[in-house]
Amino acid sequence: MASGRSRLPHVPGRGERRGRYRAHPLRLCYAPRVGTPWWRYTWRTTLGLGFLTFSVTAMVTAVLRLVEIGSCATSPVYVTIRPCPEGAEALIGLVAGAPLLGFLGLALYVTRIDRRRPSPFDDGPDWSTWAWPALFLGFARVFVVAANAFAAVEETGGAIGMWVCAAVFVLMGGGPLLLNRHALPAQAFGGPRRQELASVAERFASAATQPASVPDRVIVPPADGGSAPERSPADDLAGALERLAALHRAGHLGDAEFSAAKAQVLRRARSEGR
Amino acid sequence: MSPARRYMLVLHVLVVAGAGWLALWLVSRIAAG
Repeated sequence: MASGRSRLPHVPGRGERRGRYRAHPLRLCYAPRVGTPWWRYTWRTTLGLGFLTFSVTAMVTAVLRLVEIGSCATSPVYVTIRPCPEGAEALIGLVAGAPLLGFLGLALYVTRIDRRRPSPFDDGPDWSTWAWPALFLGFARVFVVAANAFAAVEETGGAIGMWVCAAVFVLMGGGPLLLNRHALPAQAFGGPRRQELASVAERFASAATQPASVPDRVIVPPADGGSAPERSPADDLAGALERLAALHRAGHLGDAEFSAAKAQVLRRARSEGR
Repeated sequence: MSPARRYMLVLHVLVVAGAGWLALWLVSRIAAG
């Protein structure tokens, strides 16, 4: 696999090792790095996120329309006071069917990356954490509409009940957003995830200070058949720092992340007695 | 922002906007009868 743009040691993914997967033709995503073929990554993102968004929006809007319609009945046998308007049955069908599509979409979306081999560099946005808040805040809005409908016909008990439900749904939908607020920008715009960044810094540090048994390292034997030249620890340290600097230049590491990773490499080198 | 991140962000925005619009359109079509 050609990897001209990155000086990172390349770790082949499971499928890639068998020679089945190719890199993204435009090198737009790092899916090959985590053992996911680029086309599966792109299709799972598009279909999964599309199904999920469609499902949540359709479900919430359809329920909202049904609440606005209110109670009605359609019967070939009985005389109904208020017959259901056209399309009410299709709306109910949509509310029943949308969750299935939503679960399918969520499954496709969250499995677009092989999370057993997470890429710490550039996973793109992860909007799966918005599914729960979108669903519950959407239904909270439905309860507010229902409460207003009860209040309009002066049914105070019903209105209070709906307001209580709305409050519970706001708590359920907004709570995770509030607890997750620090991670939201990174999840919305993509980029390296914090814990994984720490583990990468660890890996770079060990690559810089340990001998060639580290699997990331590829030692090319010299053409004359002699033994591989010993790399001095100073070379390894410089190599690790260069790789970090290249990542920083390419925009995969922010200023703070670069400083943290660099400090960790240096700290590791010092603790090894240099 | 790296090209990969920008590409995925644009893809996400387009997909969410498209799917949301489709859902709203479908529900309003159904409700209109």
